[in-house]
Amino acid sequence: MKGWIGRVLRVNLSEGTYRSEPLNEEWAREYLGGRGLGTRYYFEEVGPSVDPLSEGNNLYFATGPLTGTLAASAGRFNVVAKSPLTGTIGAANSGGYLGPEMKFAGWDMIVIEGKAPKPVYVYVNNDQVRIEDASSLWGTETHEATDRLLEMTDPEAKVAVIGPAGENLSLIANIINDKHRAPGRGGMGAVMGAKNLKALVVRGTKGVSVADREAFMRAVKVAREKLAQHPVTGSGLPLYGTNVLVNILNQNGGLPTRNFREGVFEGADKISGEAQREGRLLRNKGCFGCSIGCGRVSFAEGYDHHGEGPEYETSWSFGADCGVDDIDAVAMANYRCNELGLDTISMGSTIACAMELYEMGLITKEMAGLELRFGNKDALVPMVEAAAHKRGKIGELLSMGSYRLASHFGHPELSMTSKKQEMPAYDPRAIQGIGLNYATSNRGACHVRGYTISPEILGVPQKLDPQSTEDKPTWDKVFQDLTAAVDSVGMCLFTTFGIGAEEIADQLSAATGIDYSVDALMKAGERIWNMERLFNLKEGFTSADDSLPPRMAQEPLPHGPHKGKVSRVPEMLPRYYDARGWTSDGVPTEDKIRELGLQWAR
Amino acid sequence: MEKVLLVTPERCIGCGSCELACSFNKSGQFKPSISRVGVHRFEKGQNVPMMCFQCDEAPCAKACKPQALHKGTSGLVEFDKDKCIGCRMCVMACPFGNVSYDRYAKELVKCDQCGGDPQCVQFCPTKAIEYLPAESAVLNKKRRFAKRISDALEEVKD
Amino acid sequence: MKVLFFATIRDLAGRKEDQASAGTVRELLSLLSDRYGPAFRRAVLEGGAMSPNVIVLVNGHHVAHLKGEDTPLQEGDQVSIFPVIGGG
Repeated sequence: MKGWIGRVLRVNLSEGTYRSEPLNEEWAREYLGGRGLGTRYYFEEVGPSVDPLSEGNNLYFATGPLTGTLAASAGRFNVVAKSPLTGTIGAANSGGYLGPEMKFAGWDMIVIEGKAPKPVYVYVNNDQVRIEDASSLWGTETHEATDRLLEMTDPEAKVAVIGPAGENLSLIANIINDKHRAPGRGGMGAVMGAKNLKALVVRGTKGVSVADREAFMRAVKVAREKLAQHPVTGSGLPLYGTNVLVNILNQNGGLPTRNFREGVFEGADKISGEAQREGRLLRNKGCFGCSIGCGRVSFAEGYDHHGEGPEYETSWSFGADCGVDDIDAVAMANYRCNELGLDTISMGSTIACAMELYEMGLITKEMAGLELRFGNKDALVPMVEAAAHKRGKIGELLSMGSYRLASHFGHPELSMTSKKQEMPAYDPRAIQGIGLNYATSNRGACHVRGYTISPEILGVPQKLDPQSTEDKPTWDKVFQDLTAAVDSVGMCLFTTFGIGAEEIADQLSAATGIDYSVDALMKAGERIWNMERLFNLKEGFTSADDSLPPRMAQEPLPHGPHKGKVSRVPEMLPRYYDARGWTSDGVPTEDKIRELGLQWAR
Repeated sequence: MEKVLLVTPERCIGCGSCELACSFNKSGQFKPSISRVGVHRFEKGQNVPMMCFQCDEAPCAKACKPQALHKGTSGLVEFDKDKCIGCRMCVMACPFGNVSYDRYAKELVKCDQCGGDPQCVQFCPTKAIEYLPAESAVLNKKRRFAKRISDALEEVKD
Repeated sequence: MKVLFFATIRDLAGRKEDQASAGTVRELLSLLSDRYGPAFRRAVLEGGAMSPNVIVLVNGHHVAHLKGEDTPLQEGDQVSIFPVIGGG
């Protein structure tokens, strides 16, 4: 095989054993790699109805055929398992350096089965695999754990580790790789914690081959040149990172503020990409093989602390969503999440939910240990720490995410979630298409599953009216399908600002030696999307779950360009199902199943 | 005309595209472990790409008994594979660690500027590595700093 | 009316906001280009028309959904100017 290595490593933590097996070539062809391939394996080997924190919930670290090559921004890998937060199939995508290292070690995918009797880490050095005692590391934060693991294994190794949050089974815990990156959303950190797996450490010195070297390098050069020329990937992202969106969304009236009570934040400019670039940026950074370099190496003034980020989502979740306009407090909350292993979107949004409950008098000052009101910048870090360590009743509740928190007080409607996962940084009442995407995403509310912000706000590839609803169902489908394909080949989603399915298909075909047309690529994406949908349907999800919190339809935006507007997801949903070839209940029809070769998933 | 690889570490974003381009050109595989250029990543986002400095008084050449390594008229420390006996004295001699030995391919891993078309330069997204005539390689660097002096003088003018 | 600058447009204007008076968006961009110079002009205008590399909002609405560069302006309006940029 070319592009792919052709080998899967399977580690059984219950028995303390491992074995190498050939990659299922047919599945690789049809589901590509990464998110698609991991999910295909999961569906087959585990299936629905497994408790996500039980030893039956296998964890798949899956690279794509392009991971580790010079293809545009092809440094990605996915973590696939059932999500403890949502109960859906979850696939979390990450950059950094671990994915390519897995390919250089000679593995397309590493499967973790079972549960270790005591804390362990798995060390993979090319063909050599060791399951080692991690008791001395249990309890350490991610940065310290990473440093110590590198000393214990190889200074050039790459590490995926959990912090106290994952060890404590927080439903919003993240795995952290390469210290500053995360396969985010859904609580994958808790899945690792439940397996007593502290870390996966990989070192590889072998190489990745492609089928047609000349054609591949031609396709790569075309793609990289386009990215260099495009204003988003060649200029905006390297200069400002994702935080450039703070002011854009705010000016567009769609920056969710104070737990989605409003869409405009008066303090937006203070926590914006402009403010970060002017005063807090050390330099930008790129994942393996990436020519964009959107990463932010930064510091928090007055706290003697540095790290990476915050990204737009984090500036929003701890900033506007909590009503906090202090850029350093937001940065500190961000760094602590990375160090403790927590998802910044879910953590910030959960704190915002707690702030609303505090204002209602349902959470007291005594319980919170401080004034947990909107705008209190000094509340952020203590709440993050409480959640990671499940300290006190407040910590326990925060660690479970906003849905369980709000439900505990009898107000689940105050949790800004879909399928129990926190909605990201775009207000569905100001931007209709992203709301539909949140509601229909297979892993709960997620913006990266179908980033229609691109056309609706940025005008890439063309400008859509954010309030229109006629066209959004089709656009959502196209974005969701393409994204599923990109998530599966090992490339970064940000490339799609500057290149399209054609450039991706060209690189993929030349690398694998298999002729993927644009149609075939999009079809693979559609197949992956429908497979995930079928899985969730078996888990008992229905069209009723393709919904947003009541606030989105019942509480119009009070200020700004979209004052008076609400989200119209129920209006768009039937047309979306239709565009997808599903029944009016949101179930893939027999025709659609056959068309995509998903009979096995029925 | 002698050309040099000019490295400006402040521009390096640590992406390692250079390692991929180099190893692919030399071995046909994406294999950073035998890349002639290495990116060294440090805290606070500092990254330093490094490759053979083509020293005038090359310790590797001095240490090489069969004289497989020598400073050529090209300006490079050239390697003659036919003379190499694989003793790896050069690896020990280089004070910077810029020479290593690939024991599978049985060849030296040392930058040779790809025979005049360095691939690392082609793929570096930020011009952290450039390929410039030796005479004027640092001219831009001088000008950049001189501009700062010029701007400062403007500020304090009456 | 109030004009707000963002991202690289701030660097080119040398400020975060300004006051100006113009009848349409294109006229405003032209007026501002006279004020801030050729680098600013290159960023916001292309051959005299509004550049495709700039995003202009009038009272929070993208001019593509109004009348493009011919969108009329009046006192009390707020105009936001961004370069085309993106994120996640």
